[in-house]
Amino acid sequence: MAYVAFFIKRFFQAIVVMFVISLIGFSIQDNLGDPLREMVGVSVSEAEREALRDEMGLNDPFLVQYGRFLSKAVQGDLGDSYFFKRPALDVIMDKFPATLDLVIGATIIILGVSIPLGCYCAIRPKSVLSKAVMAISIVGISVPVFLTAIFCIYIFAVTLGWLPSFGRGEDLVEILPGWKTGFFTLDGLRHLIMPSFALSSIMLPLFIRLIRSEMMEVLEQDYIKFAWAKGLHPRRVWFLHAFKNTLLPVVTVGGVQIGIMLAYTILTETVFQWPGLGFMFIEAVNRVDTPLIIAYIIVVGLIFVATNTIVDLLYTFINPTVRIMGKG
Amino acid sequence: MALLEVKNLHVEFPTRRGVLKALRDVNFTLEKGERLGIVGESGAGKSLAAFAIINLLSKPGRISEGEIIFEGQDLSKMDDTQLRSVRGNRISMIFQDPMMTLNPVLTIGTQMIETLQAHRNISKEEARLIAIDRLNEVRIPSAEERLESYPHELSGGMRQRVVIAIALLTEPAMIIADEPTTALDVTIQAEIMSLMLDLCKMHNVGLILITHDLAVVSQVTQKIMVMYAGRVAEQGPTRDVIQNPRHPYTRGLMSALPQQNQAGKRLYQIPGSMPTLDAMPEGCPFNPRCEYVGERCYTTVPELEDLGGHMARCFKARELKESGSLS
Repeated sequence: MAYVAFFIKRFFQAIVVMFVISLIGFSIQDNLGDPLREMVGVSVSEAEREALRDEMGLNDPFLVQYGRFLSKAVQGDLGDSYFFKRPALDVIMDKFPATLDLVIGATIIILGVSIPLGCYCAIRPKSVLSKAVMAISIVGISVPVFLTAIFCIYIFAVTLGWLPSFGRGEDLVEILPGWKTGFFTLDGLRHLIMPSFALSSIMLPLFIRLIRSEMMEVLEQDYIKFAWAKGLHPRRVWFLHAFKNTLLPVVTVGGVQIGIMLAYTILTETVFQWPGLGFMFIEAVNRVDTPLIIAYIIVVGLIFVATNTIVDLLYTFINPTVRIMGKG
Repeated sequence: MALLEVKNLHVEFPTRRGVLKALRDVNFTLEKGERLGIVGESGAGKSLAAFAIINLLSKPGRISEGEIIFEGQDLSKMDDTQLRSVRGNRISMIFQDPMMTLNPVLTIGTQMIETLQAHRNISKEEARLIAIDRLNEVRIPSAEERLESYPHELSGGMRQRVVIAIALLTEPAMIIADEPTTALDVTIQAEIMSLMLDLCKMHNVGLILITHDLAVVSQVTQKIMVMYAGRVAEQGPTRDVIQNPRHPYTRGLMSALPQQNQAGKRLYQIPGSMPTLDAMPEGCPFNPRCEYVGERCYTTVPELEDLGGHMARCFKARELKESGSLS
């Protein structure tokens, strides 16, 4: 019962957020430049252009245009891409698997590295390794993604020749119709490593520091002292008693960060020529492909809202206190 | 042989500005099934003395000197693995605030069963049965269901009962209770205290009760140790010390009890406050607050003087005996 109420509440909140995102997304279209210039050649006269504008509805008042857009959008139609000449949502769905591969790859790296390192640094804050990790993480946070990406390419692709420098590779596995992933072939993985690492490079130090500071705080709590007083093995005190409490704030912050990572894919995908959403977005901006840009903004917004909602639900699962408050 | 024998215990905290001596020359013994009260104001070192026994001092605190002989072994010389087999097994602890003592994200059952499994080679099911048994003993209704509860689903008093149940799980020889009722409602305090007393008597468990409540100590314990500024001010059989306090500080504590006053009169208060570790006065640390203070008190720290089973760290201990009760 509590869950249903919670779902409904979150659902309506999400709708409001999406409405605002669509309004903002749609209202920037006039400021992006003239789509006609890209669509038609130089030989088309001004009169013909004006007629085309009328036909496309670009001369209607803003609210009329927005109303038209919204009524179609709720039916899943975000307009046609000017460049690809097909539904913008279809174009996005084509590119989405590539971006998802990248985000999943980066998430695996982030979780796989930050959890052990963060815990270690919290448990042994004075060790040499902890101090080194802390120092390196500061550098990691400060170096921009595109620089990390370019360095990676220079070292591992150009100089050493170990990894491919661009693209997803040819050897992809189709797990669903139209949904290809590189996780199941060696070639796909080789292509994934560098872009995933570059994408994770900003979040990784952030996560290490977050886990470390949260866990250090938890380790000071009375219930941890009580766990020691019970004579428990250190492994159990650290990785059950302390870690489970550390997870609460980390999940909240972390979930949102993974949403933000979608935004960083623009840089990473551009550097690695990764055929995903970010790369598509940059191209769409260059081509003034307004419907595609708006569709991208809305889809990314939707993913953002969805991750946040999932994080909240996840939080209620690991935090028993929240569960009860829902019931009351 | 005594169950616990603490000899010449010193605890210090190395800091940037030098070493702070938090505990100096503490000596006491506890027989099997005996109950000792450690009394003093906040910061007197009473909790420190208790935590030092199982070497659970907050960093960077450390035992710099002394012996802690428990069941024939010196706890202060043990390594972590050896200590772990004593902690929660032979010596249990009860903390001050039951709201903070239990891990909020683990069920009561998990927190009880893990304690048993850490010290005994038994199955989860066997451990569960013992846990239910103990919960019944501390009079928690529907114990079996409570095992599935999370701490926040229980009231403060109930949580402290759970903590007491955990402390008794492994049938320890001794329990250290650090202000076990301070964080509770007054009405529940008495309930919890009498429950603890009953259970200690029933299982013949030694108890070290840390409190600033002299009334509780006088009802529960056979021995008392009054601490001031990291030193023992006075110690002896509870009745002796309560009826005939020899240290001005103990007298002050006694007079500050509400029962000592008549209605309508202001409560007595010891003037001033206890000095902090980095600002100890010369001589007796109690001298700025003492009404019997003399010349010597400003230059030398008095020794703990034996007055026949009852010891006090005051130059005037013998004179105070004659003058009788203060009030």
